[in-house]
Amino acid sequence: MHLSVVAAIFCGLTTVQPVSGQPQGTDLQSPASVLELPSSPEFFRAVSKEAKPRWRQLYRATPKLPHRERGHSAFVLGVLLCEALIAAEARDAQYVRNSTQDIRDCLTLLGLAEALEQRLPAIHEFAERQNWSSLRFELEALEIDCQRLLAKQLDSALSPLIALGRHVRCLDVCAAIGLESGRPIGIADPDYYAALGQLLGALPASGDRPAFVEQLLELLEGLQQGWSEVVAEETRAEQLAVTAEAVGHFLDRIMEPAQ
Amino acid sequence: MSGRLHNNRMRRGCPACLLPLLMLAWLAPRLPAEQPVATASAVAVLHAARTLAGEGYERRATIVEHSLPAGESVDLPIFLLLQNTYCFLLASSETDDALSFAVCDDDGNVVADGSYLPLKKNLHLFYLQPDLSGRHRLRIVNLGDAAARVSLTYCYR
Repeated sequence: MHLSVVAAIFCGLTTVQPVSGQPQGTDLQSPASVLELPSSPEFFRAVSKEAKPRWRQLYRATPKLPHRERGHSAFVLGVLLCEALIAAEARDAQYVRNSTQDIRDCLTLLGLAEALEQRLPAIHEFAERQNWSSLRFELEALEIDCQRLLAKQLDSALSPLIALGRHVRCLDVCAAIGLESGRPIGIADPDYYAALGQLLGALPASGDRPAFVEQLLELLEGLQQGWSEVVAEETRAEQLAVTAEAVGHFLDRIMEPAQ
Repeated sequence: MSGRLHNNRMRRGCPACLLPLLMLAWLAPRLPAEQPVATASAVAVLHAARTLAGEGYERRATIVEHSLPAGESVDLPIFLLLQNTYCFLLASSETDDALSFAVCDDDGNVVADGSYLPLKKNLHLFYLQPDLSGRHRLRIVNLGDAAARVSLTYCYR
């Protein structure tokens, strides 16, 4: 017992949290595939160079919890992470705080809230201080931590659903901006949809998957096919409209409140 | 060394000795049960990324770590966006000249290589403005005689 007390003190004093205002550390044992796809802020940075997005008009209403099942909650968590990133682009601290509350609810449903309770105040603080760069870093670090903890709970099949939730919401935003600007920045490459579809490969066999996963796979395959057939300017605009509509409808369905 | 406590009062659990320790334990920051352990090369790229953040770059929180046996190479897939400028940060446990780093297109043809800047010992920066959006590969070759542990991340703006 005495040794355990000393060990507790030692651990507590030698792993002091970073100075306030600096992002916390992150999980450094990420699989190689995690750099394979751009982060959502990377897409946002790219579209901002070619268009003038009105970020606050791109917010999406979030559903009331509880959700139907854990797979659904994981996907919605990804959507909410993206929502906070959109708020960071809009430099809207209040919306970041609101999104963080919804993120906390999702983390609770997934059994991750207790382990990650230190990250959320940091996100609030970065929003308060208008430190948007650190906020973006912290939100990505939060997603990585979620994946690490899910793996520890033997729930790693949920990890790709978080990433997909964030990517699909990001796609939704980029398609909406593309419709306005007439340029499908970053989302016109069929390989992008193929890479998203590959994330679903980590999930259980089709019979055990949540129903929305099959719909998502169908959506991604359709978009991959559609963009691979685009050759002319007219068909590109048409495909952009198809993408925006299909992704928007999918998210509308998935974000419906539980019955 | 047995690692045992040699102070008899402490070993017997004297309350006067334990009280300050218990208070310290209570005051110590509460942490998750398991904190990830960072390797030296990963810490090096994290610090370098933080420096780049002061120059208007955004950091990725993700760091890829890879063990690379002597004489072997690895291709890491990555999706680049034409509109962004990238700065790759590569740190290794081996000496500066033991590693070669290149960016390839999806077919494996080298797009840019050899121009990375030694920032400090075993840490390199590699700037890239891609010509095309899409899938690329980051090729790291270990030219040295010993296995190398490589940490990689990137910043963008």
